[in-house]
Amino acid sequence: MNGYLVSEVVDPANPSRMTLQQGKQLSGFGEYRDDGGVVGGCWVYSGSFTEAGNMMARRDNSDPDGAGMYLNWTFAWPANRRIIYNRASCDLDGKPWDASRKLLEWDGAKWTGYDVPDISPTAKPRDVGPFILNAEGVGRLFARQLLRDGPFPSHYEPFESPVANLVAPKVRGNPVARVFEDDWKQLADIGSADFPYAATTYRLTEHFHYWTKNNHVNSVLQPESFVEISVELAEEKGIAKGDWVRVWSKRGGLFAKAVVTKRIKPMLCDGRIVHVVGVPIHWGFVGAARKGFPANVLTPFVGDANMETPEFKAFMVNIEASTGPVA
Amino acid sequence: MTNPWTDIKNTDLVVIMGGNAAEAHPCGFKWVTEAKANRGAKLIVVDPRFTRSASVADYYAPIRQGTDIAFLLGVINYCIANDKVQWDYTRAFTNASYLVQEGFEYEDGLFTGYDESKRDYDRSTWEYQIGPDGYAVVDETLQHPRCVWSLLKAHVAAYTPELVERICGTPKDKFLTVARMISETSSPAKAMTSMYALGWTQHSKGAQNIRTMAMLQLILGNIGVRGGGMNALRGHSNIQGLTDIGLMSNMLPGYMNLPLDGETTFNRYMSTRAFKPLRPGQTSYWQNYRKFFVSFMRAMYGAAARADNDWAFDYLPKLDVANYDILRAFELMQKGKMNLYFCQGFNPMQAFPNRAKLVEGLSKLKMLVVMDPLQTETARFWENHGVYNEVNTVEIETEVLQLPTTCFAEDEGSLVNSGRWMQWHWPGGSPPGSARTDTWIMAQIFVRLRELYRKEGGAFPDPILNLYWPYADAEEPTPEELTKDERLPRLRGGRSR
Repeated sequence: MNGYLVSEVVDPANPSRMTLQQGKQLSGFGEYRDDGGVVGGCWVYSGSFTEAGNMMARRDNSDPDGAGMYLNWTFAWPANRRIIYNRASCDLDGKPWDASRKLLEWDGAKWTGYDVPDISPTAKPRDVGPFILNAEGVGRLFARQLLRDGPFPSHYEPFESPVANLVAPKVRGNPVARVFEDDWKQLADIGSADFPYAATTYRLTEHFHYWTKNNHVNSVLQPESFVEISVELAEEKGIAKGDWVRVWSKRGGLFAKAVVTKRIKPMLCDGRIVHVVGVPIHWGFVGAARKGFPANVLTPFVGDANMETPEFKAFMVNIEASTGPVA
Repeated sequence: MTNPWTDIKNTDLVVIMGGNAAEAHPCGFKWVTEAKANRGAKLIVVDPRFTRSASVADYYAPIRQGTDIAFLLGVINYCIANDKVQWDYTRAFTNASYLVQEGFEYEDGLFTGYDESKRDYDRSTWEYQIGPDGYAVVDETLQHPRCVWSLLKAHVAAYTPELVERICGTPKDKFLTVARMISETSSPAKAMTSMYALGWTQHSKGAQNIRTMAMLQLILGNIGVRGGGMNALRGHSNIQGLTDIGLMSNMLPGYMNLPLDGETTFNRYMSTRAFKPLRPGQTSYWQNYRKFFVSFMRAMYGAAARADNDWAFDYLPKLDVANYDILRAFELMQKGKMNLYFCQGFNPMQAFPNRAKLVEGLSKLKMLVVMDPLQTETARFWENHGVYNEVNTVEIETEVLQLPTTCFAEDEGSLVNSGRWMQWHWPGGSPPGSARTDTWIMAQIFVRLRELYRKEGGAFPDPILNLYWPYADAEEPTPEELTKDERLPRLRGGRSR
């Protein structure tokens, strides 16, 4: 992945074929070539394992002037640069915006300082913009055609929401997010009385995803699955702290213990009270922990318009007091 | 992260929105503590819950989940209306002065070019005006009605504190306090850092959540400086590495991408990846795309990638849809269109949405292979666990193979952290039982597959037969060999050198 020089030679094992003869490991991606003279699998990682050795194995924690950059600790891509777009830490003439927080400085001939400069070390301050990967050389407030859902961000409600979009009442969710046909049918209507509460999912310190439920100690620290609701919602639904509750969405349901807390408070959105139901994600049916329900029995099958990351953080549920699961 | 974890100590203001670092990133959160203790930095938390991060914050404001863009556009509106913009930075280092094509508009929640039947845009008007010299036209006074700054001002004007309160449920006075604290970092002597995680990504507009904060950070002059930046706190220790290496169906290593169906030749593929500078003298580093791509193809196919076969461009698969993400994969499974699923280091039965649909999909597979250091729900999706997994086992015909792997403490290699640090690590112990490294397993499969293609041929065996595999032991490349793409002498016991 670092990249090295190669030349083509006749394969000694099979004279009718060519093979590659290896030269030196490169010191960085600036030496990559488009004529086949380099074997390099991942250009951003170039410089990580050079003729000088394994840069990723370095453990020198010196930090000149306490700048926090630690240039000799492992390797940071690209090019061991610790803060990207770092030329922007200086004004147009190359003086740091804040002298007490200098990162780089133009000394009249080159860029010097605590980090590896983003732009060529001898590029004059007014000649080259700091955002070197962009064809403009500047940061984009207007994203051109690079995102599917707009060059400016705009407010869109989640696909399941307690209220319609106040800015654009006719628009449901993100108008270009992909939804498969069958999944539309499994989304609750906007403002649905059947699913009136706004749910979200999250993690707990005591667990790492679904790994540490295999570990007895972590399973003792967070012994069973729960959902978090406000004092107000608990009163409204007749739920006491520690009671079993059933929570369900249009896709499925779960049983969990109720944590009734002041950490969640109802919100007033355009005249409507919105209650939040918090659902930690960690439990399942495998491991050392007590069996429990994972949050994904509830969550909707829709993703981000650009990356398809699922919409785990905002969906609608109902909740009621329960006697718990029947095993 | 644009900045490293260690740099958070240099900040004046930490904004945690779309995450809960004190709870989910407790080790990294120490840099927030450093900034508060040594610099007097302030911490703001905006979240639907009063989280562990909020409990040590200087200011907390509630927000309804899924409304972050409205909140942040409200802050941008506040900064513009109150002249809290780092003007020199915004003029010189952003595209505020660039003129946008006539014809681009925003109305009723939609931009120009929307096609409802396709749920997609024709994006052709979302572009700069290009002058006769081939460069984007700019107005450095920021007065032109078509310049990005004018369009941005008009776009955010609707997001008043009153509207933010109605959408987000954030009381107006709390919103205004947060906006005021953030706006103070428009001073060149103040920096703000944004720390976010899955609370911003896991939305149907996740990319735009992050982009809105990035825009705010740009007009405040907080990108590229110590104590500033857009800092994505990654959820797994090596998920940054996953992105870098391009482990998505549509990506190649180093943020390059796979060709689409229409890109049938190398020249055609390169024609949309030329990245000519849009202003005089600019670096436009992606101009080097061809160098990165050709070197990558050499690393993939060695001497079989040659100038006269366009560096084996035809070996690469071409995408008929935008991507085969995991949601699409499970959709295809559920529709009976995907038969074999290789699940490496991943527990989708827990980690992906709508479990009922996932179980249905897995049940229709012919074979499921799970590579994991631990027992997972995915590997046991066919087991009945009462209410916790109500399946009818006898009706499921999927064959499941479990290949136990090592975990991070049992193997050698590099992990890339959130701050883009590639940190080499060494095994702290031996793997239990029959667990083997992921690379050993993949190498075993590859060597056997290659042998089958050698013997039996096939429609197009060339990409497999010619895969560049120079390692000393084809059945077990070492981490050093994989990192350097080369054959290295072995020590007894199998390690390089």
